[in-house]
Amino acid sequence: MVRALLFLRTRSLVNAVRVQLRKLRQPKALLGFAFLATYFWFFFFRRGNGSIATLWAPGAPQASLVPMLIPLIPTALLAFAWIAPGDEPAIPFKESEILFLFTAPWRRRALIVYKIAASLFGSFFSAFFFALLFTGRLLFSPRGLLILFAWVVLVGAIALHRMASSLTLHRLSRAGVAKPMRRRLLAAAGIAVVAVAILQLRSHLPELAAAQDPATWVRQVIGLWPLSWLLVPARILLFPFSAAPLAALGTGVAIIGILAAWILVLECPFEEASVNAAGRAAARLATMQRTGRFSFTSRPKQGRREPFPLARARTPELAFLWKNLIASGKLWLSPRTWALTAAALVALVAVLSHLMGNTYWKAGGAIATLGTITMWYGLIQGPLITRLDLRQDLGNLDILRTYPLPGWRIMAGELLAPTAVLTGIVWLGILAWYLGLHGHQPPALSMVWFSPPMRIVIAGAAAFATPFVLLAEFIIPNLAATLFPSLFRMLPGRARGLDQAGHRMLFGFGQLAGLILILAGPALLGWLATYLTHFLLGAGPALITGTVLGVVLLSAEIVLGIWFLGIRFDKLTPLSE
Amino acid sequence: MIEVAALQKRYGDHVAVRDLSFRVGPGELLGLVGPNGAGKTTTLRCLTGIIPATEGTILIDGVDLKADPVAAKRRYSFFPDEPRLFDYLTVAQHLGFVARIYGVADADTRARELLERFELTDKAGELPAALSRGMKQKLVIACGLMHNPSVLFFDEPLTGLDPLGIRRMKDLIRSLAKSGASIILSSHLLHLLEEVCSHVLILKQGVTVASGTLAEVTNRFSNGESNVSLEEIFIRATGDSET
Repeated sequence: MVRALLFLRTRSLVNAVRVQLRKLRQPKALLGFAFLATYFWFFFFRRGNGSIATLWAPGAPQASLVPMLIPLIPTALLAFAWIAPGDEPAIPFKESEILFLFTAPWRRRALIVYKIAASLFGSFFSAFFFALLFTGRLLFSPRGLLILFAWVVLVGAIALHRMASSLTLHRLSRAGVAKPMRRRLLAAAGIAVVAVAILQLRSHLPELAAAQDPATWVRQVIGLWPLSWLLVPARILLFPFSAAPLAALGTGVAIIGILAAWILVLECPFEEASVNAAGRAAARLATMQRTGRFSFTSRPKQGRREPFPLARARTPELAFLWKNLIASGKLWLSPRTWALTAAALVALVAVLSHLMGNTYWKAGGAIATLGTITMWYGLIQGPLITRLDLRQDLGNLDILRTYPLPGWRIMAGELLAPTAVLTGIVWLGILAWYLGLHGHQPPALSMVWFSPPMRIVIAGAAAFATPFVLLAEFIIPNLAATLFPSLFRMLPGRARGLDQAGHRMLFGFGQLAGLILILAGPALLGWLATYLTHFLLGAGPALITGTVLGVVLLSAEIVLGIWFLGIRFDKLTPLSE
Repeated sequence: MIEVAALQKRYGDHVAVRDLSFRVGPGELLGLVGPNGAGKTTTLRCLTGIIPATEGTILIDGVDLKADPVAAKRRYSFFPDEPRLFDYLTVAQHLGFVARIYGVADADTRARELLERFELTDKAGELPAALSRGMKQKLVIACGLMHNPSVLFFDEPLTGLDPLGIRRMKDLIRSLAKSGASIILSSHLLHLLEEVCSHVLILKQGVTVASGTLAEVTNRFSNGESNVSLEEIFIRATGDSET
């Protein structure tokens, strides 16, 4: 068995590397790879520090916020496996593995051992990527090997824990602890933890209020029971990063050993779930190859709730919006969910303001920062990853071409769904920014945080301009999809690789350059109008005037862009499979 | 030889296959047929050990699949409707991998023979992505025959094949049966079953509706008429279910 599996793994690895190297003979692939390598070189490899390990190293600044917050990430990943598990026990096999290995003359335990080993093998590559990303050149120092080992332990442990938790939950189901009961127990535990945490916060309010900086405040909060206990598993997983070599090695091996033993002793039937999951994964891959759209979910497709009644779609463009919102498969994209999230944000700010009084600005600053990050992420990164437009419809080009509509109307319709989705996200970010800066603020920050009326004007102007900016942004990737359709659609059998990652990165930079080009005119006009009118009208009205004028010019660009997109769409020919 | 007794497969409260019993002797070819959702795929998966049966006994050449799965699995091969291959193993490496799984002696010679037999010699160094569907199907069959199994399971073997591929597949199945293999073939294509099968088993909602030689099943549902096709027999046996 071991010989066969080693053969499978090693030959597959060698062939995969060969395929990637062979691809580099093509100039397009070479360009993508060269760009990716250059990017990594400049942004990660040239750097000699910045390692996660150095954050915990002796002498590292204790006031730094990052090392304190890092355990929250593994904690969330570990908790997620229990809070939102799949419906079936998860030992993932590919369809080819099911055909060759399930029917092979081996015991089922051998399959589980293989999967544990394969999971760790796969973790090595993710670990190497993360190590390179976070450690840079330091990875190739004597300590680099230990850092890589720590990453393998972290990534591998999270993967094995997911398997173990899913099998455990399945065993519990078979023992009579059904899903509804588990949910009730989890909800009760969650409420208890939150209640205790609030009580703890209240009793330590004076010390927290006396904190001199956000880092001290965060350290005090996460040091309080029960949060400190909840972070223990994550701290154990992260221990090898900061430990001496022998201790790191021992801990890492122990963590992986315990998790592997946990999976093996469960003796839980997994075959049916694996067969079903493999079938769904194959169907998902086929869809991805057809549409170029990646989907995380492995659930079977079900009837989805309409985002709004189709009868309200008076124009074909709105029918496209309706269709693409349904195609997103995210029921949480409904207006009701947006309203509830906004209400929850307001409630959170109200509670924190009440609890913290004049010191609310410490938490508010963090909320405003998160809001700003959300806003910028939505504006800059959002259009690259939200593909609810022509990019996901390239596989349906034959059908789109039969519609009795001019190209520009189809393209206008295709642009609406991603614009609507990202507008909602950016608006939430703006709301968080506004609410975070609400209330008392220290005099030193008043200049940076603006006056209350000015904050309203800024938030309103940003909210007004957002859908126009996003609509203009989405013209760029859709134009690229009409110019280079093959980049957006993976055909069956085409190997994915580093060159494609490079292409996507190159495209990301192109998108940014295009955005600057599109926004330069309207931004300049808006700035000029604001500057010239603020002498007469004052800052607030001047900003409103500048925004409106900028948006008018941007709208003209959008109209031109959609018209040109329509021309390109009409010339687009379906790709042959 | 395949002997199945009182096979049952349950998914929670749902019974997918109920009390299924039959026997396929050496050289016999049993066609498994039934409407969608009749339990054909579940039956095949249970018989091949891909999923465990809830109850019942499956003997492969007299070896109990549940009691001694390793010995039982050495005796059969399963050919699915879709040729599922490892993305980064070449044609020759697939055969090498299977040879290692089953511990095939003189694997290189056997692999060469199979590559020649299935006209894959020129493609020995290619990855699956470079193969047509028919070639992939051939490779899966070559892999399945690598260890000389005495029991073969085919699931929709003609899916996606061109007319020449269909002819060759039928000839292959017949020749394997002639050489003494026990074969179970699941298909919606009733003319295929009519052409190649010696026996037929009609399933409906997990229950056996009819079982026996083609002549026996035809007699049972022909109502005294002559020249009744298997398609007509199937419709009479299963009602107006969709195939």
